[in-house]
Amino acid sequence: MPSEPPPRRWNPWNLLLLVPLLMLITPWYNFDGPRVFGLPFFYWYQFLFVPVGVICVGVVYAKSKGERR
Amino acid sequence: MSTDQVVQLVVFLVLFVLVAVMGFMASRWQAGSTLDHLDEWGLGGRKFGAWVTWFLVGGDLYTAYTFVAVPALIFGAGALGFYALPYTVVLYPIIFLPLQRMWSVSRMHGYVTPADFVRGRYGSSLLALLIAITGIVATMPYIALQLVGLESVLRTMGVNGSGLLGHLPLFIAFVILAVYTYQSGLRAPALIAFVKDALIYLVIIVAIIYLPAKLGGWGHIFDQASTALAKTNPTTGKPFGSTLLGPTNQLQYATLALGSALALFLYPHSITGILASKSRTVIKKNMVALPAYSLVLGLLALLGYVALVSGAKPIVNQATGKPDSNTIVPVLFGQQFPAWFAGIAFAAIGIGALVPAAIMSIAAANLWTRNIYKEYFHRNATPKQEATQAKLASLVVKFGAVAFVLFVDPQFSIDLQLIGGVIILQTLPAVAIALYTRWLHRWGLVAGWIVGMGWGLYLLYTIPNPANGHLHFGGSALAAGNISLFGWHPFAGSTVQIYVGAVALAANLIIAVVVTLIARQAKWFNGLDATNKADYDADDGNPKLKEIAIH
Repeated sequence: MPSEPPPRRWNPWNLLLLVPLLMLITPWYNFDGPRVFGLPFFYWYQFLFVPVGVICVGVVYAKSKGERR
Repeated sequence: MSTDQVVQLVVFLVLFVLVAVMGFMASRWQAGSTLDHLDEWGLGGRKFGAWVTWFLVGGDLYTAYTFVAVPALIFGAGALGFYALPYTVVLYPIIFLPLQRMWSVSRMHGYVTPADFVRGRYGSSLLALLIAITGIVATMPYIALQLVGLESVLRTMGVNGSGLLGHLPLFIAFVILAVYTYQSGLRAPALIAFVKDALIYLVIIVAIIYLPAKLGGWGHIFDQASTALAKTNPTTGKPFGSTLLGPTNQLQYATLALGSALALFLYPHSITGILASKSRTVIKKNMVALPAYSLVLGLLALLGYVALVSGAKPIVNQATGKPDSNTIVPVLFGQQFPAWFAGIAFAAIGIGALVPAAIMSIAAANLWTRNIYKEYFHRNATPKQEATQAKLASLVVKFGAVAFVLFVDPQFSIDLQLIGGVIILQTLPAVAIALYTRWLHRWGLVAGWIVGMGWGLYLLYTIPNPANGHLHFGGSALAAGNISLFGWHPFAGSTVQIYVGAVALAANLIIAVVVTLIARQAKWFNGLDATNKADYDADDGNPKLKEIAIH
């Protein structure tokens, strides 16, 4: 029988998960300009948060790989 | 019916039949030793890897209705409809950690539904019943809305009869879906999701490159759309909307996005997709990869503006006699694409309705079987009897949804879906917070649920919809000045809008905490906890995991 692994510990990298929530602060991006490819700032700024979210969650995932079990 | 519509319908039917065949064959795909167990029928053997889970959960969350309704919202009101993007971006970081704990504890104890978990955590069948009923009630109109999505496509292709006969094609499509879900369980939507998503990605990529170029580029489209939305709506006397948020709806935008994100994985069908996966690693990989769908949804949302500028007009639903704004994207595709490609696009939306409808009916059936039938009617039910019961329940659920569409105004399904989001959010303390702590007392959770539910429903009831003249259930945006506590208006005069679900959840949490403090003072019994601390961290390969599909 494999022995019981130690309990998971809190990983400070998890704090990165809070970064995408900045997207909820609408006054930061509720503008028309500058436009990119004709898209108002409001839209392309929010599209940028898709990769931001992916990177944050991805880093947390990568940093959790060391955890046993 | 025009020639174009005939071509569209033929392409649609070919793809639909292909998918139906796959649905029936799915029962043999990676088959376990038996299908007479909920682990197998209801959770696909709990062994889906990263790819299958990506398609399954993607097909589950980003439904046909989403793909039809989000652009329709932008078409009608502008920027507010874009909340779908922040909603599906903040979603994954929020649920990344709790979902892994949910998977682990469910895998250790063989839980199939969120209510199973609550039952184990608090030893309270009453609390579990409340969670199960909330889940079923919130899911039913969601299934009905998938039918609304499917029907909007059929009507665009000219299958737009009036009366009961007008619903016949929908009925046939659903009987086929019901039969192969009955036979194959969760494996059917998992396999079909591959086709659905391949088609969706193809259609969106083509649409997003081809349509703006054809209509003069995004800059032109946004300029035209701003002008069109700034016109005064004759029924309300206010502008239709704006391509940016206004002074009063920014809080609504943020709270609606956040509230919807918190609610999504409380829906039983989302949990079903997650519990079907093989390991924590599968879930983590998916939390990184699922935003690909968010990107697609965001792009698709912008098609609402494209439709506005192209001059597309929603089709009048012959069964209700009213223009149905949900037909706007299908109409746009029908007008702008060659007929064969429009057929593919319609099939993508139509099949996109079948995947979530199947998963939702399975999830609702699991809830019924595990938390109501087994708990209250047949305590000693064998796994085989559970599976049989769930299969039958999945049929009942689907035909219930069809009956909804047949006999009730589609607007009512939309209202109910709105309510569904608010009420499912009220299970957050019992399901999500309980994953971390048992500090909240079970009677605190029951009391919080009652208050959050009652107040949320009451507030929704007080919201009128000036656009269609309905006095009640007119939306989820509540002016803060109208928040009423037994006639007292704490924010009187404020026109800033907020999402009702957020207000109701806040009340729920406050009551839960207050009653918990009282209960702890009075030393009320808080039930027995069947779970251990280590259960929440267990992963695939742990020797203590419960065996799958054991009789």
